[in-house]
Amino acid sequence: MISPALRITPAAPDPVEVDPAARAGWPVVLVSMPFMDIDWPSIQLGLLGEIVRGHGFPVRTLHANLDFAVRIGAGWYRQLGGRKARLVAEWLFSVEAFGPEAPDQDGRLLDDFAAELADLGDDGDGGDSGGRDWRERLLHTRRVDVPAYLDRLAADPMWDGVKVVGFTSTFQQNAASFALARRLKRDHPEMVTIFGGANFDGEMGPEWVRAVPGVDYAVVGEADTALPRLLDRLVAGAPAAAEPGVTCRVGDEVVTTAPAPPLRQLDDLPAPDYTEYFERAGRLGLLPRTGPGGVPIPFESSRGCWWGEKHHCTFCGLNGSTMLFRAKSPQRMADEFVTQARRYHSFRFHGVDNIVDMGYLKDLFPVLAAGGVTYQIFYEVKANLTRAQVRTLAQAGVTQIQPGIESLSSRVLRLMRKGARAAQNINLLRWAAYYGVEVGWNLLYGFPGETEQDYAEQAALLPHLVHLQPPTGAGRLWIERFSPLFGQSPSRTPEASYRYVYPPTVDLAKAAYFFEYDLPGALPQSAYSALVKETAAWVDTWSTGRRPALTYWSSPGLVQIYDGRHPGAEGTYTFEGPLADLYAACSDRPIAATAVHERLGGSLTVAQIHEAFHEFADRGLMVLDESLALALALPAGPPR
Amino acid sequence: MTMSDATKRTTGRRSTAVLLGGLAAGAVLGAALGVAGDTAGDTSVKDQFRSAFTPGAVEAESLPMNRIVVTEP
Repeated sequence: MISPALRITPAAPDPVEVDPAARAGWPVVLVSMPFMDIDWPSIQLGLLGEIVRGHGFPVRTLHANLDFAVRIGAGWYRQLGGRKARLVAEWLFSVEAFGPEAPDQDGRLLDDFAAELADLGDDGDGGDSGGRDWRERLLHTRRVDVPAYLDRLAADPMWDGVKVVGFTSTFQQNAASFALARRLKRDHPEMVTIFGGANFDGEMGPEWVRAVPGVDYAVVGEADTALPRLLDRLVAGAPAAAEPGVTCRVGDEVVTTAPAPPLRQLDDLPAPDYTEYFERAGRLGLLPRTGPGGVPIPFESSRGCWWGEKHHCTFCGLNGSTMLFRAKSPQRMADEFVTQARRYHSFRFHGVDNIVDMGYLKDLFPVLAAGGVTYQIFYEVKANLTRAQVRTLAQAGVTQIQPGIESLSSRVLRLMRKGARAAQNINLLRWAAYYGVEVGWNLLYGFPGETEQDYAEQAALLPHLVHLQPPTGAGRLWIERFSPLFGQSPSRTPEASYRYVYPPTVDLAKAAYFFEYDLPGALPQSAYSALVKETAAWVDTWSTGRRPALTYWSSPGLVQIYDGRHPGAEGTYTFEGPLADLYAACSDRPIAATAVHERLGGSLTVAQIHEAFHEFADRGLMVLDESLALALALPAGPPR
Repeated sequence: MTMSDATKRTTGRRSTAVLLGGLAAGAVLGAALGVAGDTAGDTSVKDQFRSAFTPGAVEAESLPMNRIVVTEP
């Protein structure tokens, strides 16, 4: 096997000049392979397809992931794609990707990780499993479904005359993409393959080019400019080695050129074109029965992370090479929502942004609210939003948020460099519940410097929060490439299952994204048992459909708090005078005793306020976060 | 005459700032608790918490917000 050396070159200063008519002779197909989600289109295909088309290339996109989902059953597909641990989805395509070099021909993965895989198989598709156990089912998918799917896909006449195939790869899309590239190269040796996406960022891209013969070129970093420039070089017959952001083989060397600075003017990007997804999904019967209106339309209003530019959260491996925050203008986003809703007859939008642009809270969301649109928008946000900001989001149609809560301990949050306190996280959960915004969040643990007390306190807190939306779970953090902890984990090794997927010729230290670790200063698993148990209890409570209540009625000098969080212990608290006003003063946001003292006009001393804080906290009506206090009950009545 | 003119003539009231809760801050309702400087303040806080709780579950649907029942005359 070729084992080229890596060479880094300076970038060529200018793009090559190409006769625009010549581009018409270079048909391009952009592919998204399993296990890309099947329930919405790929923004990578939608955007890059439009960009390449805009440069004059005949281009078509291919959501080939949909065909595989239909072959194996959508429920089974979703289950496999959602199982990122142990790379089982990658393993399914490994033999077809690497042939005799694939490391686990006979399926040892199924024995070695049986305890973690045994719950696979019950996909809720109504009997798709055919009575087979999970092992038989995985082996059947690997040995029968995968080769049949790839054979049929590669034999499609659509490939005739195609000059370039581009693969976008994020998370578990590598092996399936390598497998299709291998077949296409076998049938069309002259066909050029270009790979890109998050799996090719940093040193991963050059390593995949070095180690996988089916990968001709990799675009490392953002492809908006690099891809059309690379295509022009192919058209012109010019060497691609010096093109910014491109990696390729030149003789016995792998040559890589640093990416150009990331695109700053996101308004220059076209709106993604998802036509092929809707046609294909419709033809394959994968659209919701109610029609396309149920399909979330992916959109990108920003790139990078404005918080990460200043303080990189220690566990975050997103934005490998492009932390720089950039956002589309509010007008552009308003126009894009309108355009995409009209095109695809959907009112649901899914932001792929890492973090919402706070400027939108003044310039975009109020416009959407005032316009009377009825969108359902998902956004990732920072957790320290105020009540007014959550209200603004809700009024604009933001119905789901992912705020990166991660912990309910301010001490642990500081270890993560999250830039939010526990009381702010809880306050976000409160106002999201109040305004009807669904929150996707989880609890992370395993950070160096934690103490057992951090987790004893969190475990004691959780039963008081059951009236708020629970996390999806609590789990130990993963070490991701590009995260600060990646560099602080000297004993890290690629996650064990990579060796069941990729041949030993792949240098996983360069190619892997997930790592196992032994972080110095981390606590043993037993320190988290109580947190895990209380989290499960919270999740269980909500899974029954019961919504525990903690609400208060308020008038100056009078507060009544109804506590219906725990069956059999329900009751109403009545407070009058300054105590009532104190509780109301702690509702909007976490507040210090001195600030409450001023708000109440001195009717209670600071010492009395501290005493009252503790009395409220002892009853689970308030949470104390170092110097701050926050009421836990939500105002009664309709949101306002 | 515009509609707003008519409204003004009907109410005949000058606009004034209304403060909600002006009496509550310690004057009347606040009398249950000791105010700053009251030596019995600590005890008062505890006392009010001690008697604040009334057990009993409230039916979630007992006061529906969005249900208006119209009966035939």
